[in-house]
Amino acid sequence: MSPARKRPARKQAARHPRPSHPAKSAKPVLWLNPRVLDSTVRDEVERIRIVDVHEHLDEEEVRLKQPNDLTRFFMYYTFSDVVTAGLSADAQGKFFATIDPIEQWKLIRKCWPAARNTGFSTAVRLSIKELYGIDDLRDETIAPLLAAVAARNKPGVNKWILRTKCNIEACLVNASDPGDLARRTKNPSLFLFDISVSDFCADALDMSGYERFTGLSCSSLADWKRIIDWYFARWGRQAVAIKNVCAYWRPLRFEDVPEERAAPIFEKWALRKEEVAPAERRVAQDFMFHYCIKRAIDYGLPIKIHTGYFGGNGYMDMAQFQVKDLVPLFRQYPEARFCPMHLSYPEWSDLVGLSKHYTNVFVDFCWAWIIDPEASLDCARQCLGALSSNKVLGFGGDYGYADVVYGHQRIARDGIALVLSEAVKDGRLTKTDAKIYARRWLRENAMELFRIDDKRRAQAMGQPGPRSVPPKVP
Amino acid sequence: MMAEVRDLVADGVVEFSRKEKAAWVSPQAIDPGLLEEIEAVKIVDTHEHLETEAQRLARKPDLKPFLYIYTLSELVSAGMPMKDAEEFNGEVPVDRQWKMVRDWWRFARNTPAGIASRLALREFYGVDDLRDSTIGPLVKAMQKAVRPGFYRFALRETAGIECSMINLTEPVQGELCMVSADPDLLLYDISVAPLLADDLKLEPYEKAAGISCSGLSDWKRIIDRQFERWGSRATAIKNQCAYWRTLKFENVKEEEAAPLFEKWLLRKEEVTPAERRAVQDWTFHHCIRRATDLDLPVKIHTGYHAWNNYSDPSWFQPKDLARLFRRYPRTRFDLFHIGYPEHRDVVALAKHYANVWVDLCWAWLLDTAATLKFVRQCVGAIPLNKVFGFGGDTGFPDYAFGHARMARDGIGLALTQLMHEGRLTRDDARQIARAWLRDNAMEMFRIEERRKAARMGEP
Repeated sequence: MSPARKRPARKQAARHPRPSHPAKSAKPVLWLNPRVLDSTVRDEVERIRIVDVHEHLDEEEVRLKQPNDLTRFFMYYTFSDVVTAGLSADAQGKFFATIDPIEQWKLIRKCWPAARNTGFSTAVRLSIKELYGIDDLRDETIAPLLAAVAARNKPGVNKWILRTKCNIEACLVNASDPGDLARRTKNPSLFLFDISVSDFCADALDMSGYERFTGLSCSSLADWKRIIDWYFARWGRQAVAIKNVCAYWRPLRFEDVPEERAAPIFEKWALRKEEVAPAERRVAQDFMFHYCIKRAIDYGLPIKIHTGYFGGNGYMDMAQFQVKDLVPLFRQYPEARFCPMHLSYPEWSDLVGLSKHYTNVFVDFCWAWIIDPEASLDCARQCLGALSSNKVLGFGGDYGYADVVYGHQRIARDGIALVLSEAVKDGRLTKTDAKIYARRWLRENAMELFRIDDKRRAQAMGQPGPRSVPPKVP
Repeated sequence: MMAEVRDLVADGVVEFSRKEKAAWVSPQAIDPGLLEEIEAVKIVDTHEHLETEAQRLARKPDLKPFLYIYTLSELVSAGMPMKDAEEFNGEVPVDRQWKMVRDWWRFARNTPAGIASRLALREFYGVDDLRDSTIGPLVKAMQKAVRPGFYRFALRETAGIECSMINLTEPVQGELCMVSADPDLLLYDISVAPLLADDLKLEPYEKAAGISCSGLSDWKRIIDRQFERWGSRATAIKNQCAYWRTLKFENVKEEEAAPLFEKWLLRKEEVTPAERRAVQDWTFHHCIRRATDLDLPVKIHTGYHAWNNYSDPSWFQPKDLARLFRRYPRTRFDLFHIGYPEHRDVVALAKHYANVWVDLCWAWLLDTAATLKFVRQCVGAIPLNKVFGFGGDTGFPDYAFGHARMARDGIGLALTQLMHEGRLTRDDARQIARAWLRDNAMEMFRIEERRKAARMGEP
């Protein structure tokens, strides 16, 4: 989703009493009525240890220091639906500025009834019910909810949520340390990382942080290539993919620009900081993304690209995120493996068509089940009828907070089970085939595409060392 | 004086309100608790082109109220010659009308528009279908039923419509809105599309405003005069220029538009399409600003073109409007016709932009499968206060009934399916149905205030 996820600073955490009875539930909280699902398919789907192809989760030590308020349930997606339902600009500002979760609730309580059935909100409701035993957000449930969160918020909470409750094998996380393109983690094996190349396509490219971090100075495009190479050398063996979200600020048409054309523009724009036309800037960005793709191919890294819907409100330009604009890349790099993310929502039929036609294009459901559950069901039905079983990545939470991943994976599991159950019921699929599809979509395709076992081995052999440089100051 | 239709019903002369009501979907397919709620809702109908009741009473009974342009378009799509369709819409005896359509009706009777036609025939005139043998009884039944009070009886009591918002297809003597004969039932939009016509003539508007136009600033005063005159009682402004141009509206400055306006409309010189569009762009931006000042929502035709054999989908793309949504965050935009067939884009836009609403007007007559799917999408993707569930978009109340019946049944069916899947409780489904069919429109279009203003008589 959003290229920049920074939690607003708070003055202090709110205090709440401990709950007398920590929430427990014998059967998992479900999205769908189990009677609409084939029991064999449902049981298989429940058993699968998911590979979650896209998250922005913090390290647990960061989570444990965060204030205990409603931000973890609303930021950013659910909050966007509350804004769409009519939350005033004044209340929007206050929500993230206040230190008091009850005050936060007072700001949004009027809009919550209109927004509580969207996919974003449904994920929240499922999560709080399963994890904390609270069925909905109401005046009387806010304090007990936060008390239950506080009671659970101890070392091990991430594993409890992600492994025990969500039954997730590994999360592929898009997050980086300051100045770096990926993150060193205290949760190896559970967390694996993308190399985030979006900033190389930033309109306000600032090389100083990268120069400091790498110890390489940049005075030409050739130097800049060396810096990029340095990062690929640092992370290439244990990163799972490269990730680019530049559709948030520019179209996805990447021209294949020769280096001799890009070099003088790069120097003018990024080094001499002279005024350049947007088209010139795009030339330099195009060159850099092509270069990153070539490096990704060298390291066998898939290429994840944000396509489709923009998180947040009030600025989306649909011309920027069209998956069909990526076709020249699909043709030019047959050996690359492309993952257009988020079903390219709402252009998912284009994506299915492209994934059917191009061997090197995969359908990635990350974020999609909560953007629009019905569209995701529709796309899953299309995938089942149109694509080989190894072309779909069925789940990526795309969250910054682990708690809400539960609700999202619940919708994904139940949604996939529903689509496969319908096909079994219609006689279009045997139960055995349905079980195979479920495993492929939720786990095996991602295990293979991202070479999870190899990456874990590389991670176990030692993560890159820290760089003794000050963090990049925004 | 003709007897009121209500009296004829009371005397049993006209057999309205049959025991077995016309229905699109089997009532068994809809959750009973939800169906009860949906049947009880008095719909706020966001969009109609209804002629006045006086005009209707002056008509000879014919097939037009059932084979309204949408059904007629399906017949043309099935193969009926366009010249026959044009003749059909003129003053033609019923026998001749039936002769022109009978070979094509069997192909089109199950299209959504054909279904609406049959629902109207059945509910109002006790005729289950159009056949050689039913045309005569139909005409007789119409002669009996279409009496003073027909609109109230058809819309309010039979279709369960609280009020309808009407969009004048053509300006009346340079006026973009009109005085309602029944402000409780019929409210009007300010129709700004004529101001964006490619063959715009200034004279009627000059005359209506009493302002002679010798430049863009005069034109602005003329437009402002319309807003002053109708702004307090109109429910919205409405623009359907997607029928003749794209929805990409550049923000043209007044000093750029003024010389082009003079060249095109005052000196009547040849202008390029781009020059003409620049004037239209300026005009629509000006109308949006005026609408925002008066808190009038901006209704925009997006998606499918009525009639046949000319549609250019590049004209009606809802995503082209995003720059307006960004530029006018205080303005409330109502995207008509679910942008069909670009309804997926419309869901995404209404989810992302707080100032965008989706409107199912006309949609149930276009594609029932797409609209059912769209409804399910809306439930899961956008807050429940962002959807208007019904607008008939018809010229006749009988046909509006058929459409309203399909909207009630369609929403009932889609919400029942979601309940069955465990995605909605019955209470949630009832709340959504009420909001979509009534409450959202009552609030957005400030119906009570508009009624009060409209009751004041001539503006």
